Amino acid sequence: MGVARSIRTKVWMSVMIALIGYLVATLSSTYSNSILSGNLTHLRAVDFPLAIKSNEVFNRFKDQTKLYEDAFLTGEEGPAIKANTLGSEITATLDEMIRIAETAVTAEKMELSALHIEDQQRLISLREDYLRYFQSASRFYLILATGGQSSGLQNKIRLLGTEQSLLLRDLGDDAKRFIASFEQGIEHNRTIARQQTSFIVVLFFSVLIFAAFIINHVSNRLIIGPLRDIHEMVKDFARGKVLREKQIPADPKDEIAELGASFQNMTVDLQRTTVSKNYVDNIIKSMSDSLIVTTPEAAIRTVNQTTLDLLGYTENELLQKHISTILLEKNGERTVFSGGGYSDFLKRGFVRNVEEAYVSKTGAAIPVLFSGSVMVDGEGRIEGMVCVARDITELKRAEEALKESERHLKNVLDSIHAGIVIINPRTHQIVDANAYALKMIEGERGQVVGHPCHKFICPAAQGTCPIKDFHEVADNSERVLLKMNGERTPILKSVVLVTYQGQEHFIESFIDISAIKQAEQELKDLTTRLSRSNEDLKEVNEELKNFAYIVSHDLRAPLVNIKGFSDELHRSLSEIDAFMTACMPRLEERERAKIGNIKKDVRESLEFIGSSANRMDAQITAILTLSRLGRRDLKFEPVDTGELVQYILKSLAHQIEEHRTHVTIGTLPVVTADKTSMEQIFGNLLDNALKYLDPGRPGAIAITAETRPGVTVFSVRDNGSGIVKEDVQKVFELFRRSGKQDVRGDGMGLAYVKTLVRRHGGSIRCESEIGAGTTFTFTIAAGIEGIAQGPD
Amino acid sequence: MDLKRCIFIVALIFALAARTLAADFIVVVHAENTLSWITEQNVKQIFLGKKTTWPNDRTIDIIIQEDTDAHAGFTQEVLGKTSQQFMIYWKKMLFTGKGLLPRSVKTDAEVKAFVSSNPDAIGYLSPDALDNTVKKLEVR
Repeated sequence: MGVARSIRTKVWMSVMIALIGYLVATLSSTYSNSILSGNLTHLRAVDFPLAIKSNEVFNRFKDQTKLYEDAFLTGEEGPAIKANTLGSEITATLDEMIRIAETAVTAEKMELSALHIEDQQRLISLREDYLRYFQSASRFYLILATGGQSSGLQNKIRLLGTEQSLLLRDLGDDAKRFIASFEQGIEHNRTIARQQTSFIVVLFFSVLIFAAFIINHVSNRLIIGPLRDIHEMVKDFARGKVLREKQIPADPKDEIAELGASFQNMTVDLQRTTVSKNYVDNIIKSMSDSLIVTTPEAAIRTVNQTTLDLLGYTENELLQKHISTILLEKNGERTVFSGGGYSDFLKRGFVRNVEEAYVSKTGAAIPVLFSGSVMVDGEGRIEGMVCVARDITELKRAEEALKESERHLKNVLDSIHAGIVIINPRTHQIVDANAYALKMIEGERGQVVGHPCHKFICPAAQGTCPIKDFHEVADNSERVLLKMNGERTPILKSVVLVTYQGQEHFIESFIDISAIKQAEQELKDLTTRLSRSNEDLKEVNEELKNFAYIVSHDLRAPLVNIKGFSDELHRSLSEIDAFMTACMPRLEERERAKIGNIKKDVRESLEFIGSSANRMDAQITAILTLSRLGRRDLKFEPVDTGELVQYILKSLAHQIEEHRTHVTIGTLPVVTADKTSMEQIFGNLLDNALKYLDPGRPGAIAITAETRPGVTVFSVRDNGSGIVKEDVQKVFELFRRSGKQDVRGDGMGLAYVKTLVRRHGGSIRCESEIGAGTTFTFTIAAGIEGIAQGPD
Repeated sequence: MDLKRCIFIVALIFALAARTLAADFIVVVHAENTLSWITEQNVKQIFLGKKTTWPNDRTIDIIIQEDTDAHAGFTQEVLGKTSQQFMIYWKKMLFTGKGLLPRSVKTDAEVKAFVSSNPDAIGYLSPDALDNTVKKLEVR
């Protein structure tokens, strides 16, 4: 846009664009109006007169006909003469119409002229028709009216009537056509006018939009743009920003560009010479620490945003206030601005990193790290004070938390029932010790902390520290703690090396095990005593077993004698009896009776001796058997208990059948045991189970096994008659039989079982309920090593 | 009572007179005409020139009388017009080219002569003049 430079040119350009738009709109509207005007002229000159005159001809012809009719009906001459005068008028009007059509034909354009030629030709033929009719009618009706009524004329009259009707119709049609043509012309023009109005409206708006767009663009480009640039520069300048280096070309013809260039030059000059106030304010504002500048009297002059945010005041609330209003005086402690502190501050000229506290608007104390310095002018006069403070609330809080955490740690350490001592491995000095450690050492903290550890709490001498010098690992190892009085305490000690604040420390933790040591000693003594008495017991037991064997064995010999000799007595008695029977008749009645009695007594006694000896024999045999079982050497081998049980059940098949018994066998394992013993155990238990089944219901026996760590548990359960509660424990005793004595047995079976189970390192127990059944559960130790070879 | 009776008698006389009047004419056609009756509406249309053909498409030839009682009765009864109105009606028809004036005669005898000689003719007579030269059409 080199052309438009000055503001005047620019404004004129915009106006010209608007005017051109206006001109276009006006021209187009004029053009459309001229078209409309031509159309209307034609309407007025041709269509309208044709419509009027055709209507006039039509009406006049109707009048003429009416007059002829009157003349015909009444036979009067007057109407006929009158009608004849109308004829020339009609002809004249028709002539005029023909002429109008003719002028239209010559004046109009092609398409319209074709229409008017047609009109003209039709009018000419119509005039000819009319003239023909009129020549006949004017004469004929006059003749009729003047008495020439002859019946021979009837046909002539009728023909004329027909012609007249046709003419009337044609003229009517013509009038209608011309009127319609006129109306059509009006309608046509109205349509044109409407279309042109729409076109003009559209054109107007298009021009408006186009012109607005162009003007906007031009003014933006030429006026507003450069002005905006200048505005931006002014704003930047006001904000104290460094102006952009964009150079605006100074053109003497372009006033705006020149203004911009001048302004830029001015600001650049200004920048060179001064520092913007805003720049300084910005520095103050963007400081993250609180800044307060006071007058020499310590009244607040300037505060930054950080201060306001920190304290919750507005700037106006703080300005002119004495600074001590926001400084907290803690219980008479002096602040920088109170008492002697202030004079010290003025004298030194600064304070650095003093912990003070500000008071916020809500009264909350805010701990701050305060620094201040005194501003002095060139002549040494105090201008004011600059105070910078950093909010250390978080720092304080963290410090407090740390202290709290340390207190907590110390509490924890002190409440542990173990001694904990921290030692510096370099100096061997005790750094800290907890309460329990002090108690164990029996010394005060002051005496212990700071003291070297060797020859103090540790019996090792300097340079022979087992941990540091000999690199021993102390992890729950037994050591000795020296007390203050030199006594030794056995301890269990662990030492770990930790790094704390860049220094290595040993943390020794230990517990007093003197009680445990004592208990251990006692246990050792007790064990020794126990094994000794155990030995004695074994001996006694062996003696007892031998005694049982010997007694039963030795008792057997006299018993055999008793039995033998009682048999001998029996035989002797029989001999005496035979002898007595022979002697009897010789005796007196009284003597015979006496002898009879003696005989009877002797016999009874002998029988009693015999039966007692038998019973004793049986019992001794049983004891011998039992004794043998306890002494027998067992042969341990793998025994398939499932197979074993099946084998035993086969031998008991008859009884099973007899008691209608259902036997369930669980999964039975292979165990290491003495096969004969296992046969005896299962044989006795199953035999018992079958023997004591309730005859009143079908028997059910279940044999199950369960392998547990170290033992195998077998159980034999039946649904027999059960054992009364008080007898349950007695079933394992010698010669003991429980329940009804209707079943055969010597009462030794379960005693054998108990002995054999015990020799397999196991135990047996019995649970029973009357009427419900009995369960025997026994264990045998897994593996041969769990089993003692002999009875203990 | 007397008045009512008088009104009744007068009404009766008028009614009888009307019937007498109605009998002033009869419509006749050629003896060989196949029609035996005709509606009054048809008679009216024929004599006003609005119906011009017989059912066999032959042109109807009408004949009227001039200034007779039969003529007056016929125009009044059937056409609802006076003799003068009837005449002007036909003159207008002639003027506008819609028809020629019907043939007119002065006596019943002329009517009979025309009808009997013209098979497409129709006319009217006074009842007394009826004979077998023409055929009476009953008007219903």
